[in-house]
Amino acid sequence: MNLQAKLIVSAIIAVLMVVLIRNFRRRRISTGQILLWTVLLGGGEFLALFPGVVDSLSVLWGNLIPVSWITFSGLAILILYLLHHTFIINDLRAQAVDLAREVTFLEERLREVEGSRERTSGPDQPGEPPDA
Amino acid sequence: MESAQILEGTRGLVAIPVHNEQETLGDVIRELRSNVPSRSILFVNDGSTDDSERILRESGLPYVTHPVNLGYQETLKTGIHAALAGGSSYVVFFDADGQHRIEDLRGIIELHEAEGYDLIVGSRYATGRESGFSTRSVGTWIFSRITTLLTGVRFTDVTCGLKLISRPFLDVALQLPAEDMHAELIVGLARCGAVAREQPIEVRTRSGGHSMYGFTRAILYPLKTAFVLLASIAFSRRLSP
Repeated sequence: MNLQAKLIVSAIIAVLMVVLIRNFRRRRISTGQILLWTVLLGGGEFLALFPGVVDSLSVLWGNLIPVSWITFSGLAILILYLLHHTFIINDLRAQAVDLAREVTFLEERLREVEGSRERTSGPDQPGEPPDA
Repeated sequence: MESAQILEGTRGLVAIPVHNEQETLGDVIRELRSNVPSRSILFVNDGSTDDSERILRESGLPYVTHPVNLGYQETLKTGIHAALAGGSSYVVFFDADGQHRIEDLRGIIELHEAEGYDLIVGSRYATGRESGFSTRSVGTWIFSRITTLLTGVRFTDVTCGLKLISRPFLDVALQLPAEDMHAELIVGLARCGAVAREQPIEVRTRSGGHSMYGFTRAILYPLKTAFVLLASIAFSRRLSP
């Protein structure tokens, strides 16, 4: 990899890091997520600066062409990341359903309480403070 | 008038899932009000966007409303949660589309009271099938055959919405993987020891509203149900009432 290619990859990674840090400061990305992305981008930068490591790893994996090794590794990381997000989405969905059900029963309880209050004391007059 | 006789003296709950049923809801409310004590009724409005909630509010009967549409399965689960919280000894699901008849609700409850079945599922086809072909009827036939094979009990209409679950199995029903709580629920509960059977019923022609099984759902339903059926078989081993 020549110097020009190394500079281009480093510039792209630097821009991505800036975007991530800006979003982290706006609290649009969690600490865990930014840590994960930093590790991934740091790894990418390391491989861009020391391409010999890619050659050695490709040989370790059974004489793969270095480009194939990078493609395979990239896909594996993406699939793992998608899987991680699938679990997160499913957890959030389950929590949303639980919360919605909680709201459902609380609203029913509120209707009951308001109904019994109106039956015992009649509806509040406008301008009057609510009953203690 | 046959007033409030069906669940008199029992601690059952009739849970009615409602999603955009304004056209049929009024008739269902009238029918239930004159046959079931109001304390034993719970309408579960699944975030309807039509006038269903207003109709329920004005009926004075007990109802709860999901703040957003959670789907049929979660609506049934809300009914189960309510039955558990209220100490009901069983829950019966009754459709709000006007197709189910009070006589069949009575039949299912009487069968449970007399024989103690843990799971009773209504069947439109127990006494024979109507001629005619539809994607849904083929799916129902296939999954009914599979359910019969897996449970050893004859089922002919596993997609029927009229079903009773007894209290010991309500918790299990909440934990089983489910899509629409049809074949997978029957197989899962039967594998956990529930004594199940089906009860012949008649259904009226839908007078309004739309079936929840549209084209896309009709295609996806068999795939999802087949998968969740396998999951139900796998997970039910770890569950007990």
